[in-house]
Amino acid sequence: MRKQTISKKTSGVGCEYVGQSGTLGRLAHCTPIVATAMPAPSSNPLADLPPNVQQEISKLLAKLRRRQLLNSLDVARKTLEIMRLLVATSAAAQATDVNSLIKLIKRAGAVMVTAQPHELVIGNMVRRVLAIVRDETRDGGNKPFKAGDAAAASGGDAASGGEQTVHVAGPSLMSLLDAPEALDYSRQSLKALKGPIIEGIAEVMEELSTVSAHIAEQAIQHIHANEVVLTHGRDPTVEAFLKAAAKKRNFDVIVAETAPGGEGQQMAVALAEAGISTTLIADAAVFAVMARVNKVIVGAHGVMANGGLIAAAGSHLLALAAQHFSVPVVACAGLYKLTPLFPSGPDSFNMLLSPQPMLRYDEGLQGVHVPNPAFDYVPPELVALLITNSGPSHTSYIYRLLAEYYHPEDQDLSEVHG
Amino acid sequence: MPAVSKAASKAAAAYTSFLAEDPVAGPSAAAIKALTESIKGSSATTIMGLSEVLREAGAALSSLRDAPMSIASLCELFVRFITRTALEARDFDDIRRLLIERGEMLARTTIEARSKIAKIGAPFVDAGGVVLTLGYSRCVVALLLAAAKTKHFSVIVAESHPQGDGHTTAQQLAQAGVPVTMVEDAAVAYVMTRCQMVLCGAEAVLESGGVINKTGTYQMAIVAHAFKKPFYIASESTKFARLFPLSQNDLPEHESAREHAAFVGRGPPPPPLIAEKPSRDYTPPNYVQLLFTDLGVLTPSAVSDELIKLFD
Repeated sequence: MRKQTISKKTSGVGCEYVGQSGTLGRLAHCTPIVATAMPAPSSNPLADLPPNVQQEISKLLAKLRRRQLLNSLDVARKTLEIMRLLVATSAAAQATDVNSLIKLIKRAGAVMVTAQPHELVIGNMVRRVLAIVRDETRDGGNKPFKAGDAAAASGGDAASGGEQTVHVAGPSLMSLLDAPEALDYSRQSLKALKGPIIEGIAEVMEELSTVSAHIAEQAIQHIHANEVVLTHGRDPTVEAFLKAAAKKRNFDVIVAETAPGGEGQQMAVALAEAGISTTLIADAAVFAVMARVNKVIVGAHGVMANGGLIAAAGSHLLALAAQHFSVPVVACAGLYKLTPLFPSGPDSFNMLLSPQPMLRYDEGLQGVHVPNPAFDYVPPELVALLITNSGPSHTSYIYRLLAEYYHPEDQDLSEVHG
Repeated sequence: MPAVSKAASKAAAAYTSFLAEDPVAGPSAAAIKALTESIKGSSATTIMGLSEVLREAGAALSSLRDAPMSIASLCELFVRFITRTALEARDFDDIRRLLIERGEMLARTTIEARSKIAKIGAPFVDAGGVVLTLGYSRCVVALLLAAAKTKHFSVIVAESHPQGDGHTTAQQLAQAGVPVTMVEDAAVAYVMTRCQMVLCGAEAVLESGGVINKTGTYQMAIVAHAFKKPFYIASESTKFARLFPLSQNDLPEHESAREHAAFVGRGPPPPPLIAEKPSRDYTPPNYVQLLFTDLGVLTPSAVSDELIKLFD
């Protein structure tokens, strides 16, 4: 007989998977993703990198494996720190020209991405750094890196911010007749560029620290008085967004409890403590309440190149219920979650969490499969609006943001040109 | 103006011979070569004159029966290039030389574009999946062959009457060892449940983000939409055209020269019967998920952006 366990107990467990690392390590299956499929690794893929970078990478990967680092913002920051260290100590790896630096960064990135393919922000940050390197090389280290500036500066007022920086790399119909851009990275000396590159990385770090604030600034444009907002899970960006809106507006929030992790319960508590009128419902009641909801606001683990979301499990169901009642789904995500890859295959970029919150080990049930996927893929047509720190954008225009922040040659980290 | 029409007819003749010479390159490359040829042969001595020559050659080309619909945007591309380089170039001859050089380069890269499209589109084919296609598109075949290098999947090809060029696709894929199933055009809905994705080529990609392609593409897109299967287009960016049709009636008139499939072996249709045989149809952008082009993987709205940038 199954024992009835009261759900309050699981609410305490929440996101803290620290103690369950053993089970998770074995269960987390990482389906290889197409765009970053790696060739068979040689004995030590990190061998070419400076020793202290090797050390830092192994430390980060170990932490991720043990799930001691869960917040994607922290992962992004850590990745940038490693990249900064790599640029600073690249001389130790005999990298004297830009091309060999790009190779080194790609190598380090490929290793980290292969180890943790579902941590999308690692790949994103590596690509951002590569774009900085390419940008600085093109400008000869004279001009400051623009894209990061604009994101930080434009913040709340978005539409204008995006237009100002028309640095669109990548091919265009207009430039079909232009001579192919022959920027030979291997001829560019790294010495003079190191400073500007590190400065560029620092700017991205600065951007990371203001992401939530910039997104929250836009809250009052999207949440109106007396509206009913539905959310689930506990995304720090969404939490900040709702709290910011509550400073000026009176509205109701309905939170789905988000079984089996119960993050929604924590969210409900946090919102209620901030003085927001909060209702907690079971996940099964989402459809029932949707008719009186004005807006669904969710966070995302990653925003894919087609505008689709990789978000907490249950998001797809939520979005479909919203579509049934023609309720707009708004996703809040920082630009660092923008991933220049397309989701392919049913379970890429996903992973399985511990079955513990669903079925306790000591309940002794034998022969039952208890998969507990962490994420859902929400197709772009179900998402009405994406709010990033550079402003709101429609999912079909994600490609513009991608062109602004990434270089097309960096999409595949395992591929090294020239 | 007899002199004008002579130059224009020369461009048209050049197009026809280029197309016959190198059928693998396709109509876009032939049109670019013909435009380049018209610059070479022109006696224009001013930038205005050169632009005029290009526009006239373009008009002559677009009056041809099987000319690509993107001629106008290709012309605009050249004219734009002239006005942009005019500021930097030393003299008129410099511009002319540069223009010819770049035109020849573009004709070459149009062919290379296919391998680029194949590379970026191939990951969208799932291992073990089934891809539905119709007609014959060099881009689609290149993409499927590229995907076949790394995974096993099968292809269903609709015959695509009236020309029936689905047979060409099927043959080329089968020769390369890709499992191919042929179905009649009317069986598209029947096989749709089995499919993972639908992939078509395009005769032209329009400003709306929709496409003009072989008749049957529209209905295939509608069926794919009904079954919630992704519908993708593979096309070179030289096929982007500044047209904005609102319905099927807004397409440039074009009827296949072939005999109507329904009357093959039955003689011509009797007098009160009208036999229509449209050779292409327009698929609106809301049915198109993504376009694989040499400019990257684009959403339909990205296509509009590119064309607006070119013409504004």
